Parts: sequence; structure tokens; C-alpha cells
Amino acid sequence: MPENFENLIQEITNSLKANEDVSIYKKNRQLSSFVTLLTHLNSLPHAQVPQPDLMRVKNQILDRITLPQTEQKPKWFSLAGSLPHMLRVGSGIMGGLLIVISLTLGAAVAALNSVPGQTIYPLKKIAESIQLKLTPDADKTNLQFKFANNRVDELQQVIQQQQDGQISAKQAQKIVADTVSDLQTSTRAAAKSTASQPKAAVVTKLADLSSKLRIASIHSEGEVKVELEKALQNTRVSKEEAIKNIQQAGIKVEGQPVEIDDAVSASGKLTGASDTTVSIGSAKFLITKDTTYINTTAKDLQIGQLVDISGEIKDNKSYANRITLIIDPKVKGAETTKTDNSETNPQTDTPIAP
Amino acid sequence: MTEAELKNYLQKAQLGSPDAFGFIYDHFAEKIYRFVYFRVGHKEIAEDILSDTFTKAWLKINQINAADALSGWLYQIAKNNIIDYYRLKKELVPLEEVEEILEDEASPVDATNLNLQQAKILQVLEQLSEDQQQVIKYRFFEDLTSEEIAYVMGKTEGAIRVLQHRAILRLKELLKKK
Repeated sequence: MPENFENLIQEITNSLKANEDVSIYKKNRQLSSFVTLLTHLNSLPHAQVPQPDLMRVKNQILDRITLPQTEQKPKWFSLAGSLPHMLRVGSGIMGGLLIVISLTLGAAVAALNSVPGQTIYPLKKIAESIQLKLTPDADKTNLQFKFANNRVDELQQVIQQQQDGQISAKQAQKIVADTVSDLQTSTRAAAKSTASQPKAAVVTKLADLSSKLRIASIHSEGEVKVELEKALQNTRVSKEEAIKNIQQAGIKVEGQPVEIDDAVSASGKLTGASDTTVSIGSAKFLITKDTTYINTTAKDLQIGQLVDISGEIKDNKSYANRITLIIDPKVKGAETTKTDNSETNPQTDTPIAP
Repeated sequence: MTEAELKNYLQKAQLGSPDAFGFIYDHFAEKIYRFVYFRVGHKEIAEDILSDTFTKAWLKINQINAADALSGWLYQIAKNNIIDYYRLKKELVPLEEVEEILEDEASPVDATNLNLQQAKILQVLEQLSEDQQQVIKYRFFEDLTSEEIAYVMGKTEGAIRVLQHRAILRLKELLKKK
């Protein structure tokens, strides 16, 4: 065996890759069989791949990388060495634009509307992950809550799919378990953020998520119910951590929602409204003759209105005791004043004030 | 594209020229797309990962100081993006398992058009160590250079040569027995 055999193998391989004549190596007895083996390896038939739309991808990349240039053009050329740092400065804007561009192109459109279990769903998570990385620290908590609410909405869709027979109980359990794990990541991060940014609103938002999960768990069964109970427990732990952090910072958590065993509440946009039920995402409440309405009436309730619902759980069902209209999107600038809602939660979509 | 041209485009890209970066993309996009596609087995997802790979490359372009390292570096970013994709897809799968999954989605070899000897090679290939198999697959199934493989596998180019050498010796030995 030649001493520099390792280099020879490399040399022959390189020659084969460059379509050069390798017959000279074959004349060497010791090398001949290796040349044959390498030739067989080199001529393995390659599988065809679906033709990519490279031009579309190129335009997408160029759009992404040239967008901040219009805002920071003079600095780019003089400080090219610190380009990555400069991009981080404008990261909030760029992150938003990046997601918007992604939204308008190809698979990303489907991804952002996808639900767990779909092939394209991981792209939604990638988009969220990028958005989170590019968002300034001060705004990260709001984003974590937005993602947590996305997860709760997705849970509702998965439960609905299972009830409609589109997916099996086993599939639903697996998807719900994954989504619950993601939800936990967001709520933990939000609770953790209170150590450096003690904001009391974090507690109310976590309480709101707890309520939604609690009601969703009432309307589910089997393993899915177990997973939702787990999520509920985790969210409560995060809430306790947030309260502890805020109190350690010397801030009193006033109007803190007290979780009474039978009391539930939810805040947000109405996703369902009928004569017998109202829903905010996964939180579905039954309407009774005792339900009271503040700033609205039973027949005026419509999907899209921002409401507070407080209620109770009886016989494994959730009932709406009081429905308070906060904002009706159809009436421009119509933000109603809460009357007697000292214990109700703030609207879900409201950013947390610094 | 010649080495000098590539060097020139890299320098311009590092000074902030998206057009120069566009030429770099044109040169490498198809290779990187193939690499990603075999790992994810889905055209649209591979295109999105390709897009993210070059966007990240642009943001970190000043980390590269030699044009001949560009290709391997791009493969490395692509590989990390693929791992991120799998992490998000299956958050609880350990990293080692993720790396195994990378090899399973789509085969780079057209198994229906093999000659007898090539079929035998594929059969005995599985008896090689994981690293040796990887090197053979990257080098001959996907035409990566030793330097590119070094970036993807996180080893030195010398280590890749040694692995390749040992893999070929072992393959020959196994084929002889068969």
C-alpha cells in the first residue's frame, strides 16, 4: 500500500469529480481495484429533486436584506464592519417587515394559518421564533402573550377537529401535548420576564390564559383533558412566579384575580355568539336567564366585539354570569367604560404598559 | 464563477452590496437547495430554509474572511437551519436523533438505476461507522467537497480525508467478502 494512500484516494476522487482521465492510476496494481470502486461510487445515479423557484427565493432574500438600507444608507457604507450590530438596532422594524414579507410569499402564507399537526406548521413556529429574536427585550413579553394566545386558539381548533372526527383521539392527544409544551415555554418566559420587568399586567394576562384553559378542559375528555389540565397547572405556576417576582420588586399586585374553584372568567374578542352560548377562543360559556349584560344586550352581542365574561362552573359546564362589552369594532372609537368590573381581566390584545 | 470573481463579490457584499450578494446566491443556491431538500423532503420548506440560510449569511457576512471558505460556511448555516426546523417540529427529540433524521427524508441516490456493483456497495455501506457512511454519502451521493463536508460535520478537513480513506478501505474489504 503506498505511503500517501490517503492523499491518493483524495486525488483520484477529485479527478473523477472533475471528469478527468484516471487511467494512469489503473496502471498501478495496488490502486487499480480502488479506482474501480471509486468510479462506481462516483457514477451512482443521482435522484431528481423538484425544481426550486430560485428566482422567487432570490427576490425574497434581496427584499429582506435591502429593506433596512433605505433607512440607514449613510451608516452602512461607512460602518460596514459593524453591519450585524446595526441590523440589530433596527431589528424590531426589520423583524416586522421580515414577517410581513414572509406572509406575502409562497408557503409562508399557508404556514401562518396552519394548525399543529400540519406539515407546514413548523414554519409558523420558525416565523415566530425569528420575530421574537428580532424584537427588543422590552416588547418580548407582549409577544410571548400573543404566541401563548395563538397556542390556546390552536388548541381549540385541534379539539374541534377531534370532535368532528377529522383526527383520532391519539393524534389529538399528541398534538395537544406538543402545543401545551409550546404554551408552557411562552408562559414561563413571560413569568421570568417579571424578574427584570415587574409588570402587574403579566399576572392578569396569565390568569386570563388559565381561565381559557380551564374552560377548554371542561369541554374536552380523555388524554386531551389530562394535557389541558397540565397546561392549566403550568400556567398557574407561572402566575405564582410572576406574583412573587413583582412583590419582591416592592410592587403590590392590586386587583389580583383570585381563582375561586367555581369562578371562571375570560377576556378577548368574541369568536362565537348565539342565543345559548358565547365563546372567546376555547372558552365557551352557556347563557342563562340570570346572565347580566353591561353596555350591551343579549341580541346585540356579535363576533369580533371585545368583551369580559365572568361566570362559574356547575355540573362540569361553564355558565356566563355577566358579559361586559369593552369595545365594539363597528362603532368607531367606542370604547365603553367599565362600570363594576374591579375583578375582571383586561383585554387580551392590549399591550402591557411599561 | 472563478475564484477571483467570487472573492470580488464577497468583498463587495461585505461592503454592503446586495447585488454582489445576489451573484453569490446564484452561484451556490442550487447546491444548498439540494442539500436542504434531501434533509426535509419538501420543496416549499426547502425553499424557505434556503431563503433563511442566505438571509442569515448576509447578516453574518463579515464573519467570513476567505472566499474559498464561503461554500462550507453556507452549508453549515443551512445545516443549523435544518436542525432548528426539526427542533421546532419535534421539540423533545434529542439533537443526536435530529441529526439522524437529517439523513432519512429523501435519498440522494436513484436506487432504481443502479448497476449490480453499485447495488452491492449500497448494501455493505450500512456496515460502516456512522461517520464513515456520512462522508461517503456527502462526497459521492451529493458531490460535496472535503472542505464542505468538514463544515457540515464540524471536523477538520484532515479528519474528513482520514474518514474517507478508512471508509474506502473498509468498503473494499466488505465487497471482497460478499
